[in-house]
Amino acid sequence: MDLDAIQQMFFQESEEGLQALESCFGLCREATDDAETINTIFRAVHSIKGGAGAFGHEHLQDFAHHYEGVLDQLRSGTLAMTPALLDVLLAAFDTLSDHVAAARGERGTPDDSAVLAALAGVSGAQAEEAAPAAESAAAAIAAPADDFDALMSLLEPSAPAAAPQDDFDALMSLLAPGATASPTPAWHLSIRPSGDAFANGGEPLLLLRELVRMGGSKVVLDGSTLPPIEELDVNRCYLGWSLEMPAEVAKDDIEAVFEFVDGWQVDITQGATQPPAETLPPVEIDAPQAIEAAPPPPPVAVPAPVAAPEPAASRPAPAPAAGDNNAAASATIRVELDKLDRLVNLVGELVITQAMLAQRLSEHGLAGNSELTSLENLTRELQESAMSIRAQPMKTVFNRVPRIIRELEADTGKRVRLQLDGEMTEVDKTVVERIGEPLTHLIRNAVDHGIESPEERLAAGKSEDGVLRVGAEQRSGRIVITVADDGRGIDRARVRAKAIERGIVAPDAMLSDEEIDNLIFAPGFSTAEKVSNISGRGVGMDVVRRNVQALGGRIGVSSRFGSGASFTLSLPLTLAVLDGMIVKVGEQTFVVPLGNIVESLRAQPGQLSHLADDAAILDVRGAQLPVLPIGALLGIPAKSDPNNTVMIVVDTDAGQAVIMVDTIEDQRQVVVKSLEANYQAIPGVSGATILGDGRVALILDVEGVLAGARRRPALAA
Amino acid sequence: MSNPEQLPAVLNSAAAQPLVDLLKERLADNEPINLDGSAVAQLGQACLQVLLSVRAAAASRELAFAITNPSEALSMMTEMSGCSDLLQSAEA
Repeated sequence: MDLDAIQQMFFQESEEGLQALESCFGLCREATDDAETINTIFRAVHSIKGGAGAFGHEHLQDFAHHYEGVLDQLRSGTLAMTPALLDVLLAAFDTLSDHVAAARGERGTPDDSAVLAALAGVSGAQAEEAAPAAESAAAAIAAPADDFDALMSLLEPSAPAAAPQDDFDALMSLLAPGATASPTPAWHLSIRPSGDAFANGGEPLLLLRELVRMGGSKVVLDGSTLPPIEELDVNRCYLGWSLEMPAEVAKDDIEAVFEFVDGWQVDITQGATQPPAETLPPVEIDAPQAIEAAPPPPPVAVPAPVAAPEPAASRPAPAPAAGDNNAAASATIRVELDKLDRLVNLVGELVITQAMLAQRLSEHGLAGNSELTSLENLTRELQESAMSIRAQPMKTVFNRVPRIIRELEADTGKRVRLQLDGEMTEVDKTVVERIGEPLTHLIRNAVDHGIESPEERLAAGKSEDGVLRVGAEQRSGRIVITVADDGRGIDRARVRAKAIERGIVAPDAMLSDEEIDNLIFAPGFSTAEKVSNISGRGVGMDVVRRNVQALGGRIGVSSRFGSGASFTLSLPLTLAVLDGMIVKVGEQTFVVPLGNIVESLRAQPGQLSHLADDAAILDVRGAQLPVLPIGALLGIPAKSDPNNTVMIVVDTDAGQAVIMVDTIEDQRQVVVKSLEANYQAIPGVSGATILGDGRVALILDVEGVLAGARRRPALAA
Repeated sequence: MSNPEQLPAVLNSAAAQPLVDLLKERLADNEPINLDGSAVAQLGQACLQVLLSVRAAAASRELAFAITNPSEALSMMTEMSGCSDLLQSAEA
């Protein structure tokens, strides 16, 4: 692993740290935070700062340093959490996120002067005093092992800036016998680096040195596993240590030293009763005179530390050893996305091949044998497992929401209480990546248009704070994302007037409430009185709908005037496979996504009313639904006699409609192949798949087909 | 005791294997191990454990093991890592 790879790891961990910060600040906003919340915030910032320093991101390091100073005061109780302080901390958090992005090269260095001034304002002089100590402690904590030579050069006597005499003396004074009595020993550490601790240039002594700099003393070597020289592998790490740390050092800070190492056994116990170092037998690698027999005496390990007896009630719950954490961490691995996509593609090919095999066996009268059934089950299980690897929690999207809300609050002067539900709902990575933009627009829209100003809300008998609920849940094999506010709701009279004004609907059009609500998705529609930089440019909701449809999803809205509006996005859990109905139209085979299908039926005499051209209306239990003759719409010779065709009722964003096909052949899961990637986009077709007999079948884009049909004069109304 | 062998200035992980080879050769020849630490500017754990293991091997063969003239860096690192006695064994 090279330095770049380690830096990427630092960036990934920084992102995770920022996500943890967002969660913790959520607790602070709800006033449900505790001391551990603040500690977690501090640790995350501290860790980012350490890594930033190690990789030379000075702006990030400098900003994190000032941020950390204030957090340290908060942690120690010097500062108390107040709404004003929280605002400053949140602003600093956003700036820290920007600095991390800048360090990654995703944007320029942010202007942090105002936030730094605010931090200085809340911390006063104390932050300045606390800073140098914190900085020196942090500088090497997260230093990557690969930076070994640079850090070790500090020890070079010839380097003027590297190992000044006073630094050496200071370090030695810590180790001097007289000095060991001064700090109160509170923590006993037992450290056993992993056997491969030297991998990638790792150097355990750097961490030991950092502990000594932090006040560690009574260092005792454990060479119990050191093999004879004949068996020694220079690439393996054999030594361990025990030492004591003063009570003044926070356990978090000690643990942070080991943050960037993996597989080490680190035990940190409190109230050590370790006898003084000088009374302990040192590692027994005896002087030559002591040796009498050929085999050398085995080195004696330092006895395990004994914790001071404590009353059971006051004994803290045993902290999980760092080794446990590392074991948990090592239960996951990072895999390049390309490899994952290749696996998913291969599984897709396997599914197709399995279907082809089944088809071929069926042609020879061998269908239904148990081996084929087992293969089918295994293939499906394999496919589900492969897809689950790509699944990510919606949390990765939802984590951006609090910042969006903060910015909107600042821009609009409105107050918003955010409720996030279903953060752990898992969905395919592609959906996670592409849902962010439409979701952001819906949120902006809800705050800009939906939620009223505090004054308006008070006048309406509501609380000053608007509530915005963003939730995700799995429902019937799809993910449903909801963005709901308790604002003013959709003003249908105004929406209708605007739609008429813009020529979207005829002045005398008879529209249901649902149809009026859906007008906000019409291209070019905007009800904003003036264009703001938040939303209301008239390109919003129709783009949202298009983006959602591009993901194979649908969007709907429900509203009560004066009480709020709720937008619902229904998306497939994955874009790689699809449950569909195989239908025939003329000589062509199509797949109709099952998610769109409500029912299928044969038209009875009198159920069908013919309009101009080949358009028709089907009466389905009183509902007059437009019939979409797929053959005619796609230019395919097909049956036109409704008595010989099958009517499939489908659900779309624009309401229900009926697809007319010749026959239904099957219902099965198909592997979606992109038309755009392999050919080009075709209106009315969302993709293609390969059937069991090797034929290619096009997957109908029901929304697109309906939109195309509505452009025909007979169905336009 | 023979003339001391000069320890290299940089005793990092990369220096561990050459150090092992050199010292195993001395052990194979049943020669006392006499090392001059005056030039050592860096000491990493890989070389530290080589020195500790060689000292034990020398002891088992009743050979002398000594590191003389330790540099400040060497003294500091052995002191810090709890094995300052590595620099004290001077004769067999």
